[in-house]
Amino acid sequence: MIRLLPFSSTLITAIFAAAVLLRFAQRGGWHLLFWGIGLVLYGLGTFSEAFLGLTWSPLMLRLWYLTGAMLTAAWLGQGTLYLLVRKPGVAHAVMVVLVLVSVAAVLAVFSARIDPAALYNIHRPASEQYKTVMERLPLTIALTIVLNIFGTLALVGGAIYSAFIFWRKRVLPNRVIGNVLIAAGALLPASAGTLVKLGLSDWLYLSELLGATIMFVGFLQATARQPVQATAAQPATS
Amino acid sequence: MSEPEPHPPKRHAPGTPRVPHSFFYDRVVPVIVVGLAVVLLIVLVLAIGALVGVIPAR
Repeated sequence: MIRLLPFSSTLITAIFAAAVLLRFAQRGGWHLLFWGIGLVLYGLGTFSEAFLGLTWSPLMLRLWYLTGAMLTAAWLGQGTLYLLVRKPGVAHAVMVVLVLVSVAAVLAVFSARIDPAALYNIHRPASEQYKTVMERLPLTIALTIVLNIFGTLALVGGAIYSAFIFWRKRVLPNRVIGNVLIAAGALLPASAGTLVKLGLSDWLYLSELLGATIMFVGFLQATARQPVQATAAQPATS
Repeated sequence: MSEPEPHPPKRHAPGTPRVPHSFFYDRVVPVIVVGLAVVLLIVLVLAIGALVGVIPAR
């Protein structure tokens, strides 16, 4: 039953990505574009994970590692960076670095040697087996960690910061709740590495599904229209 | 991921309703926000530990 979760995660992430990219098409905004790309990467990660539960494919294993383990958090985090950093050129400069690092990640993953002698068991999660099947150079491991640190810090830290700012100002409570949900949802898959180390590989599937669902609910909450009072509100205190 | 920006104006636009005082908003929400920040810190420390080789990398 738990092996069906990546399919559900893929479906929810696809709907989430479509909603974000549709909003980008209507309103523009670099943050929406990068969130949309990040969610597409998220969906590719869960889709390749689901595929690997059905049959062995070296291509899908590379795609799973590249998208699920390396790129998703960083591209989502880049979207938040565009939203938060107002200084001209900073977000664009980081974006150029991210693109270059992402290209290096693609080259590293698709040139990695897949051990033909290693037996891949489709009944076990990919997260339990990839180390014995796919060669990972120290550079690949370092890139994976650096990309995830950047992405988690930007995405989760940015959502927590936004929630705090709105809470302190006592305005737009939907954005407080929405950002809390986004931060909580993003932390679930971000902490999945620890779960895998603890031998709870199956929980990775659940964390991906819950993470995507909670972030989607948070996004809908944060972008919901709020009623505006006809008369002037109380004077601002800050 | 809220829009259009995380920085509310210093003075609220006329008609922007302020959140009334409540136990949930005044007490529960900040605890949740701080809790999330602590979890984020733990995740980052673990990741940085993995990067420097203190903890075996994934």
